[in-house]
Amino acid sequence: MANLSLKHLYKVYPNGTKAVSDFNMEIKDKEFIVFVGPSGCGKSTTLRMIAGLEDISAGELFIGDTLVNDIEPKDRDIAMVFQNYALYPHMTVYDNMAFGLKLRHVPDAEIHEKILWAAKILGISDYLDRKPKAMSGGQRQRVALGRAILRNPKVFLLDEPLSNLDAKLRTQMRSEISKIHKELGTTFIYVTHDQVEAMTMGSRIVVMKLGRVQQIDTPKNLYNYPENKFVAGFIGTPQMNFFNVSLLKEKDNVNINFKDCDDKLTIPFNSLLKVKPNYFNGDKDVILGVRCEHISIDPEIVKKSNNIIKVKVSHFEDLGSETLVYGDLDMEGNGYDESNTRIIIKSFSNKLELSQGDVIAAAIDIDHLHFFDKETEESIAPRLPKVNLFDVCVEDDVLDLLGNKIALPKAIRVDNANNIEMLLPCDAITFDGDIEAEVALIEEINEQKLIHLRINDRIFFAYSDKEYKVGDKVKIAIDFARIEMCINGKEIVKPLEERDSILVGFTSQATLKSSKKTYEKFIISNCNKQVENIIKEQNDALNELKINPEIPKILKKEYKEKLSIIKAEEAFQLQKGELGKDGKVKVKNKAKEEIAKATKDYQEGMAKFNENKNRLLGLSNEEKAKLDEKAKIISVPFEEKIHAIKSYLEEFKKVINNHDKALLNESKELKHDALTEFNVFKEKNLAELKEKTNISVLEEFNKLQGKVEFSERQGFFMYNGFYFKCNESIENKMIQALQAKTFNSIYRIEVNHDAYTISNDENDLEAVVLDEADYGNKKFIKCETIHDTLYVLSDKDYKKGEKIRLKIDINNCQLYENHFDIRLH
Amino acid sequence: MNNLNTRKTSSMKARRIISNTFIYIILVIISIIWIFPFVYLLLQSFRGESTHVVGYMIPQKWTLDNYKALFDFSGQYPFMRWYLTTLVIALVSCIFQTIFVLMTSYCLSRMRFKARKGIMKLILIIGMFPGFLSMIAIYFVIKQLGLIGNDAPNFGGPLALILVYIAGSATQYYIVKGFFDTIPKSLDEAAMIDGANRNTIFWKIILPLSKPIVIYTILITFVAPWGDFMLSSYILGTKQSSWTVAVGLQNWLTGNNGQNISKFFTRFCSGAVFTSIPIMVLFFLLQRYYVEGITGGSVKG
Repeated sequence: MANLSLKHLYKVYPNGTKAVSDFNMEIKDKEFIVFVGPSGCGKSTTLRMIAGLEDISAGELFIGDTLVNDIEPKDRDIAMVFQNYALYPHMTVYDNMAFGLKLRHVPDAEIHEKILWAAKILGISDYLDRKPKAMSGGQRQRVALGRAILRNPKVFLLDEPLSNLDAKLRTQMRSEISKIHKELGTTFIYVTHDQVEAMTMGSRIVVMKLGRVQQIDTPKNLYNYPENKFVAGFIGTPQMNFFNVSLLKEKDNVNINFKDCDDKLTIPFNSLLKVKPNYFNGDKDVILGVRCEHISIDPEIVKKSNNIIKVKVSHFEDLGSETLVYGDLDMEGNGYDESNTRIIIKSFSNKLELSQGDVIAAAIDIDHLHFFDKETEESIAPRLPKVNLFDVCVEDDVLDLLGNKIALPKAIRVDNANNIEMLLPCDAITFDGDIEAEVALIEEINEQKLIHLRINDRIFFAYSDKEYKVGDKVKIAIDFARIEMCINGKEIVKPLEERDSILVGFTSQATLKSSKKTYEKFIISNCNKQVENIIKEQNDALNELKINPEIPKILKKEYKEKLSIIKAEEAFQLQKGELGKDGKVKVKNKAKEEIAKATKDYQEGMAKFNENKNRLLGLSNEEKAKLDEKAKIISVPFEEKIHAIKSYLEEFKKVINNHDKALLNESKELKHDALTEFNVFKEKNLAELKEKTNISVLEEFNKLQGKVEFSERQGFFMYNGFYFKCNESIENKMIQALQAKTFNSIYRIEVNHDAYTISNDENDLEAVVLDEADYGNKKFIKCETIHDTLYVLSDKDYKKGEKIRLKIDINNCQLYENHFDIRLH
Repeated sequence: MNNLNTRKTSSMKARRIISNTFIYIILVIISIIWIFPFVYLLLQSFRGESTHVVGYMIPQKWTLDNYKALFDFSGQYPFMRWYLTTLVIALVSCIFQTIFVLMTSYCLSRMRFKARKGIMKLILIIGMFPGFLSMIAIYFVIKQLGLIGNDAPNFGGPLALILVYIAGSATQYYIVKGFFDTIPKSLDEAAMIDGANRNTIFWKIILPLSKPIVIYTILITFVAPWGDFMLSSYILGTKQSSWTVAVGLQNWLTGNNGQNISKFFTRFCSGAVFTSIPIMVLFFLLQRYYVEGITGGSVKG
């Protein structure tokens, strides 16, 4: 009887495989949640993490209000039913059920009473003195269920409990489990690979694939609104039919053209409002999904319908009440293979007289079509759209959005153009501006309010918590920091990244050395790479002016590196072993081509160098001197940059060496402070503490004690030789993360723009102001550290080149393990 | 057609009879070879006319004197004393070894810790070396402990043997671990969720399910010290009062510069028969489990 909260759960195995990635879910009290997915999708692992049988690599798991990451399974107040029942074979049914209660020292009389109650519910009262061996599979599973319900747990976990039973028993047990759920009123989490079980039992279903959650929704919504092709194909039997199509808008209708045959469907545009406009130009590949029950071959329906496709019948599966007709849209196809043209039709009439090879007409129910992007396989018309796409034009920095003229903020500078596509995230529209729009419709989906807005007959979407009515006139504003603009697919305005990302190291008193060294190495190699890049740029710039004797060497080195990469790739491909003869030849040919190309590039480079050399050698002394002068001027900024990096590196090494001392001092101070505070409090309240009656004093005492303990293992993040403290909850997460040996010790912090405070403290991060980015309602300072560019939200003006000091509020950031991209906070 | 079939079956039957006969003949010959020494020993132990080795098998005069002579608690060759000492050594080390072997195996089967595989391989390889390689080292360690030597107490030798046997018990983890591996892990997990800790799981869930392998371990750990000669002769040395049966019996054959054999041969035979009794009893009692323990091992969850 509790709600569960799973926050960014990850399971990473020592060999680096991610079994579960970023699992996020809130489970309410008394819900029946089903995890479903193909084998190996991480559903059982997630369940076992909830049970405590598997360690959580990263993330937080709450049962009720308690964080249970480090709590033993027996103390989590859960019960679990296993696939193979896991009954103790040497005990009778009675003892099996009593075992858990006996361990918890429940009085015998109570145990007896409870067992009789559970046995009655499950109908196993007659078997209590039998051993599991003498029972059938169904009875054993009942005992396992009984053992679990006896304890009256907060959460009930079931790991494929029915998959060892035969079909009839399974149906029976299914309804029995549903009945138990109703009677107990406990939160159930049920794992299965059988979608029928999932659809019939779950109040909400989690569809998983390769460790990632695909969709969480009610059975009905999963069936009606699948968010991607995988969910669409997984839910519903037989599988949904998928066809390659393209969409073309013609006035108020949209034509659906099949790619692999000549058929065509027409649907009204109104039903595709949420689809991004760029799908309607006819050249984007789209997958059309239709369930077999939404295709009809009943002659009467076909007669009435306008959306007819031709199908060549290949074979039938008669299921008694209905018949599955298999066919192919392609008149050459065979209808047996799972191809892009294979079609399955559910027919409810038994009178059809069809035979193999017949070509029949089938009517498609256009109200139940699903569209997916061919590349991403995501639905192109999600129930909750993320972005709006507008065709806009810009003239003299004034944006023309559906007839509204809006001045662009200073940070966005676009040349005049009238064919700009603007992507505007739905949640970047706020209701406090001065652009007029009309509320066309309000939808409430999964507790979110989607508002359809209309300007000049164009519908677009926004989210709001406020109450509006259809027909209301509203004034909206646009967050310009988040818009993206393209011309012919070329990006001209980038949205401001939601967060700045910086790479940091972590040290705490316990892990002082290991993490520090990795970070040190990382910084040094990074700096060296930067220097290399600058030298390369410099060489490119100087090429025309000066003979660089290094160039042939560099070219040769690059050429050799390229060759080795190509060969390694070829060897890797060949070694895979699943290629077959043709595949191998293809791989070899590809490698040969690449080698030829690299050789050509190298030769061209050399020829260019020689030509340049000859040209420069042919010059007179005077001209040479001039060029030398020019080269010197060009070199200056590069040399400066290299110098800056090198001096930074030296400084960094010094800082790192002093780092331990500084850290030690800092934590000594912290510890001292915490201890004094603790002692003062203790002395002051000694009398009350001895009596242990004053709860608030006791609480405060414990809190202070915790503070002292924390100060002993205080952790620090290091960035560019600066370090900042982390708080206790992050510290705990970091320690959990450090236990996972697969993680390398570089972490990524994604800093919200408002997480910075500008300070004057010398110990804080130093940054140089580059520019201002004024987005109208928000103003950012663009500044630079040696590795990264940061955008700091601030109203104040700073000059270019000015040095500022930044404090980062670590609570207002997201923390990731960089290598596996695992969110820790 | 029908005719052909019958002919085929009849020829198959004939072939089976021939091959079975052949197999049984071989088996009978092998079992005679195996049983012969024991029958010889048994017959010689009842011989009354002389005590030295003779060239015939059936005694001319039957007697129980050889057995009576075994019940000697003191004197130069206190067989009964040896017998009890051996029994104590075997029983004590059997109990401790069984517990240690089972616990080690359970750990290696169920727990996951650093260097688990390394430890498993190391123990396995160490177990493959013959025991006498370390004998000298063991001898000196025990001498340092003061358990053997001139001033050592009487119980020193047997205690030293018990220590040595127990110390090496973990090397026998392999078969037991294999058995534990076949018990589904979900049983452990179910018990864990039921509220059991590792200790409870081991004693209340795993052990009751492992009867065959427990019995196998008991047998193995009892028989090895019971019949061990090399280590015990080395450690017990010449202190006749604390000898084990194996050492004493061997002395009856070779002791006193080879003169003992003519005096004690029949008594040796009766002693050997008497020594084999506990093992036989144990084996017949536990035989059912013993076979099951090695070949079986699949426990349905």
